[in-house]
This record gives sequence, C-alpha cells and structure tokens, in this order.
Amino acid sequence: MRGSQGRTNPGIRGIASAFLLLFALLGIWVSYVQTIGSDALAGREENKRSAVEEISAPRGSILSSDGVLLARTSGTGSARTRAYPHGKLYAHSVGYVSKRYGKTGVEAAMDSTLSGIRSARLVDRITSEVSGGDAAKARDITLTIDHRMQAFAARLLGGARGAIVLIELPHGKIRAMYSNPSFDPSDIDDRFQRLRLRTDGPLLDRATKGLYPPGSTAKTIVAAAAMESGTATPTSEVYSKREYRASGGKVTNHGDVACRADSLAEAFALSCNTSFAELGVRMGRDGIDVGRAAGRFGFGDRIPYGPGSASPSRWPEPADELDLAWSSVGQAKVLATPLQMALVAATLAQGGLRLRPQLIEGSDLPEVAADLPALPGSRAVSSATARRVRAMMELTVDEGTGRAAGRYDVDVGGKTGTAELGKRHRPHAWFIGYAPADSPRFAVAVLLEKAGTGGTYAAPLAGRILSQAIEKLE
Amino acid sequence: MRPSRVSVAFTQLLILALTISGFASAALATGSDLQWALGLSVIVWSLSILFYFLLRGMGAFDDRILPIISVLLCLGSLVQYRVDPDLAASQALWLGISVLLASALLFAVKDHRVLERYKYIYGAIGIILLLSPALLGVERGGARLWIDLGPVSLQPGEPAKVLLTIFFAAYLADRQGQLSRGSESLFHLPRMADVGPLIAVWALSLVVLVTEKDLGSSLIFFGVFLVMLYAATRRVLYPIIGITLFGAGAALAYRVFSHLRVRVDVWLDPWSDFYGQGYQVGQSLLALAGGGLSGRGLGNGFPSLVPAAATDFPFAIIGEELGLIGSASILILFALMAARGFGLSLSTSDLFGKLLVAGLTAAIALQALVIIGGATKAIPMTGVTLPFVSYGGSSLLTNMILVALILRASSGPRARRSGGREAPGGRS
Repeated sequence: MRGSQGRTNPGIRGIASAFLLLFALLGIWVSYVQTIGSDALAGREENKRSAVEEISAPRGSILSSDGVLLARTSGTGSARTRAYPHGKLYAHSVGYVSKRYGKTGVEAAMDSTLSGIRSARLVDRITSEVSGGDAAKARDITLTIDHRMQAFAARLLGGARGAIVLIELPHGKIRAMYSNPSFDPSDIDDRFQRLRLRTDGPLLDRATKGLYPPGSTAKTIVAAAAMESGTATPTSEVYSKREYRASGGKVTNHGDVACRADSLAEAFALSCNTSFAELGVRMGRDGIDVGRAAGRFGFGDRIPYGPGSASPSRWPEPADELDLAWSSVGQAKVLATPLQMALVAATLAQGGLRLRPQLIEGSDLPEVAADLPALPGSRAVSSATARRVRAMMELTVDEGTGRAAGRYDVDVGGKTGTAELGKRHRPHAWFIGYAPADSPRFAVAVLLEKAGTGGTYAAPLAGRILSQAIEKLE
Repeated sequence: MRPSRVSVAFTQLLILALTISGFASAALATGSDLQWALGLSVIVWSLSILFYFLLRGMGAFDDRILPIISVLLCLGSLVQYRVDPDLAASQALWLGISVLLASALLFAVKDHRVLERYKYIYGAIGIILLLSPALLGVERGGARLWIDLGPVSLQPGEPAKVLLTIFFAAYLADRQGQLSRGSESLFHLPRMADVGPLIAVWALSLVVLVTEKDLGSSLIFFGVFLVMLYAATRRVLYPIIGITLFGAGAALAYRVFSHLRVRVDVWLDPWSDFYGQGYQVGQSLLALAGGGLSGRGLGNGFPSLVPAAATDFPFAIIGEELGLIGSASILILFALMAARGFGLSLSTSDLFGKLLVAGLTAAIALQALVIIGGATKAIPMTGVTLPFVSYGGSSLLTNMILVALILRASSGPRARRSGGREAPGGRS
C-alpha cells in the first residue's frame, strides 16, 4: 500500500500543469481587464475616480478680478481638498467640486483648464504623451467679478431672497453677481442633502436661473418696441384711465388708482399699467410683435456668459388680448432672469447694441473662445430708440417711481418693477438701470423676492451699488 | 541544492530595498509620516527574515518558496498601509505571532508522519470547526464565517482547512490501493465503504455552502479533496464524478437559494446593481482599469473607494497602484509557489507526505485563484482572503502553518533519499 509514489508522481505533475494553466488563464483575463478592456470600464458613469482624481490633482485656483483668492486646492496627496475662502459669497458663480454630486459653476465650465486636461483613458494618455501634450497643465482662472462689489452686493441684499447683477460697459464684464440665499460650497459632500431639502432653495442661482415675472421693468421693452415701430414717441398721448378692459378681464394700476400721465414718458416714469396695457394691445392689433422685440433683447436665448449660460427668459405668445395686456406690463406668462433684465438695461445704455456678458477673464482660453460667436454689432433697437427710452428712464429716477435710486450722488437712469403675485403674497421688487446717465459705465438689475414695490425696496440698492461701482472701479 | 549564502542574502536585500522604496513612495504621495512607514516596512521585512531563519533552524527549508512569501508579506503590508496604516500595524503584530506559532509547531512536529496517526481526530475537529460558525457565528458580508471572541474574531474555516487536508492525505494514503483498483477499466466503481467518504465530503461541503453561505471555502475545500483523490488514485473518473456532482449540487442550490442567485447575477452583471450588491466587484474592476499597464503609482490610487479593500480586495489595490505589472506579478508569484509546492511534493518519498504537500499546495493555490478570480469578475465573488497579502490574523496564521507543514513534510529525512536534493547525511 505504501511506496506507490512512482505511480502518483505523474498525477501530481498533471495537477501542477492544470494549476499553471488556470493561473495563465486568469492572467490573460486580468491583462484584458487592465489594458484592452480598461477604457470601457474607466468610461463607465459609475466610475467616480476621475472626479476624485481631479479633486486630488493640483487644480488651478480661481481668483476675482482684483486678485482675491476664491477657490484653491489645499492639502497634499490623496488628502487634497478644494477650499473656498469666501464660501457663500461665490457659491453660485464659482460653484463646487464634489465626488458625489459632480461640479457646478466655473469649476464645472472651466474644468479642463483648471485641471489641466487629464484623462483616465489609456488611449488619451498615450496620445497626449506622443503629441507632446503641452495643454496638460493646470491653470488658474480669473473671474471678472470684483470682490469689493460682490461683497457690497451681498451686504445690500442682506437676508432678503433675491439677486443683484452688476455689469460693466461696454465690454459686458460682470462685476458682481450674487444670489441669496447662498451656501458654503466647502464640504459640499456633507451638506448637499440638507441644502437640497431646504425650502428656501439655496442651491438655486437666482441671478441666472431664477425666472420671475419682470413686472413694470418690461415696459422698457414695450416702450422700445413702440418707438422702434413708430407707434408712439415719448410725448405721445396715452390711455390713462383707472382700468383697461380686454377679453373679459381688466388691467389695473398699482394701488388701483387712475394714472395722471399726459404722455408716454410720464406713464413710463409713473409706471402706469393701464397705459402700457392699451399700448401693447394696440401694437398687437397693428401686427407688431412685442415678443419678437423682447427676443432681440435676448428673451428666449440661453444667454451665455463666458462658458455657462442662463436659463432662457420667456415672452410667450399671448393667448388673447387680456393676456397681451398683462404681458405688456411684464406679467401673465412673461418670465425673466435678473441677468436678462440687467442686459436689457445694458443694451439700452449702449445705444441699443447688445453685448455678451462675461464672467471669465481671458478670451484666449479654449472654452471661452468657443462660446463667443460674433456678437458685437448685434442690435436690439436703433440708437434713436435707445436714446428715447433712456430719456424716459432718467425721468423715472428724477421724478418718477425710481427716485430712491437717484439719491447717491450719481445720475441714474432706470425702471422700477413691482411684479404682482396675487393677493396672498407681496410682489417681487425689481429695479433695472444704468449710471452715470450721461455716459453709462455700469448697468444693474436688482431683484428682491416678495419684498414689496420696486421703488421702495429695489431702487435704493441699485442706486447704492451703481454709486459704489463708479467710485471704486476705474 | 542549497543556495549559497550570498545569493540568499542578495535576494532578501533586494526585497528589503523594494519594500522600503514602496513604502516610501506611498508615504510621500499621501503626505503621511515617512519615518513611521519606513519603520513598519523594516519590521515586516525583518519578521519575514526571522521566519526564514527559524525554518532553516528547524530543518524545514526551501529557497524558492520563502522569498516568494517574503515578497507577498511585504506587499500585503503595503496594501494594508494604503488602506489604513493602523491595519498594517496590527497585521505586523499578527505576523510576529504567526512566525512564532508556526515555528513552534515545527518544533513540536519533527516528522510529519506523526500527524498520520491522529487522522480521525484531526478530521473530526476539522469538521466541527468548519461547522461551528453556523452555530456560534456572526454573519458578515453575506457569509457566516466568523466567530466573535470579544476583542478578536476568528475564522474557524481557516484552520479547519489544514486539519481536513491532513485527514484526507492520511486517509487516501491508507486507502490508495482500494480506491485506485479498477483503473484499467474506466468505469469500474470501487466499494461503497471506500467511496463513501467521497460522497460524505461532497455533502459536507454543500452543507457548509448552505448554512454559512460560504462559497469560497467550499470550493477550495472540495477542490483540494479532488486534487488529492486524483493524485492518490490517478483515476480521472473521480474528478469527473466530483465536478459533476458539485456542478449539479450548485445548480440545484442556485435554483433553491436566493442568496446564491443574487451572487451569480451580480457576477454576471455587477453594473445592474452597482449601488447594492455589485458595488464591491464593480469598484474592484474600476480600480483595476484605472491602474492600466503600470498603475497610478503608490499612493495615487483610491483604496477608500473599494470596500473591504484590505481583506477581500488587496488585488484591486495592487492592480490600481502598480498596474498590470503589479497584478501579473502577484499571479506569477503564486504560480511559482504552486509549481514549487508541487515540485516538492514530487520529491517527497512517503505517500502521506506527498499527498499532504500536494494538498496543502493546492489549498493555497486554489485560494489565490478563487479570490483573484472573484475580484476580477472571472468567477463570482467569495469571502476568502489572498494568502499572506490580505489583512486577517487567522488567515495569516493558517497560511504560515500551512507553509511550515509543506516544508516540514518535504524536507523530512526520507525526502532526501528520493532525489532532487543534496543531503549532508546519508540514509536514515
């Protein structure tokens, strides 16, 4: 029974060969997974490693136009994190980088420049090695936002919900863009779920994505359309009764009083709804499409600002004349973002020439350049029309509803807006405008959710920030 | 042939250099305490050297297997360090304990043939240990493998493997004649008394599978037995019957048991339940893919994204940070260890020793194949560990003892007679 090892050995050799075969097969499989199959695996959406890698890589910093550090990578090795020294102030513009929730804002839009284009894919890495990949260096990004103005805007808004957008003319650089409530993008992974569930919506960038009825600020567009089409001039007579009836409904003025306006200019400055309702319907009957005029100001466009774009503002086809009447005073289904309304003011201030708002300095960067089709020269209205509307806007601040904006040592032209939300809520307060009136350098839009009348609540903030901008920025 | 002292020293110093540079890379890339990392690496290496010298002192020595184990231990320590430095520290402690206990065992067992005498006792204890988690155990990770003893948890399945392997080897050595009779005719079946244990073992392994949901152990367990059965009898019939029975049993179990179905479904498509059952294998695959050819570099991987990285998926970490080069090296190391183990089995003179060495070698090799296969989605994932590399005190201890037994059985006095070795002494 013993000593049969002679017979056993070949068996053991066979077993050994079988095992070596198994190891070899497994080796082939693993080789496949790590080479040929690796691209497919690395590209799967479940693979968050590139997101984590980008957090770990020496990512470029983000700075304000006056050199304040807004986002940087701190720590070393795989313990690197993205830090936001001014947290809440720039949460919506700069955005955040999260392993779990992705990237937003400038962090997302300028991602390849910030991370220095690196790919997890084998193929990309080889080609960039071979082609000498010199684009593969992380770079810093500078925003057009001026830290002092941004901080000032935040202070002005205080605890109120809303947004402020400040644009410098003529180049369209956004000097302040703040949305409240905001949040601290640091440690976003821990905070995200709680932020998401808050009823006040801190994650929403109200400046570029919040859609609100513009209220009387829309009268700038209606007036511009009227003058452009020759329907009216600033001195034309207007309908000024207490109410305007159309299609079984009516439009009333704020406070339900009659409008004491002898001309379009006065109706504009006093923000008479009935006058503009009648004007809008009259234009509609004459075949003049105010919606298309709004489109020339940017309504309906995903307005890009560097990379990244705002939600399109809307000026839909009215269903009937009542709808048309209310649209003409910026209600019904008309909706606009604060950025869009700031651009309306900017366009008028620029003599009717549209401009492209910019958030990022440096048009040599590929993402920015790709997003800038030829826009200079695009005209919303004639310079004559723009001049007339501006005159009315300056009257509004001198003697009309926008008086509160003119109290800060600067001549301002603008338009208030009080967007009604029904009986149960206070209206949204709006103000759009520009300064200095004789030679505009800045345009602004201020929106305060459910605050009250535009003249009381929004106008003072606009005046103050315009004044501050002129004083602080060359 | 005994290697010269110089070449042994050279090999081990090379291993030391690689270990130190590996730890240094990892520490620098993650910004961790460099001195601590280097200290740990030297300690781990030193313990493996200690093992080497102790084994030599006990007369159980092999120049091929020990360096392989040395590399695996150091690499394992590095993987654990990457997951959590504290794990690496506690594993180093376990390494020290294992070295001492394995050496103590060798001291107690001067000749492997003493083990033959108590085969039934070992077999019984083995079975009890194997089944104990079912009665006393804690379910972890979908399988019931562990017993909690306060501060320490043990996996009784690990030593059970060794005891049962000893039992099989002895039993088969005893019955070799009966079992292999009839090898002239392919289908001549032996008596029930002889083939009974085969059936009993098969049934036992499936019981383990069912009650403890431990696919890995039962696969290894069964595989080792088949290997030894074939080695002893050289009848291909047995492995064929065995594999067929196992396949049938597994197919039946698949139909009946939902947890098994889940495992298989997740194996076939981990992405369909990526955020549930498929998460581990999915992350392992993503880690391997991210490693590519040469890896992301030590310290640049994401061990934190792979759950149970130190215990179940060290292969994924190595694949991620050292690339295909690293993962292929692991496979090659285990293949070499298997080849050497079987080679030692060939040169062992007595049948019991031969079968024992072959069986123990098959145990390590199968364990490596099963866990690497699971981590790479070649086969369904199971809860076994990668020998010497994975974190786990009982796993490490068992594998050290296993290797010690292999070396003891193959370098015993009788072995020297049957060639393949130079013996200073003459016949005994």
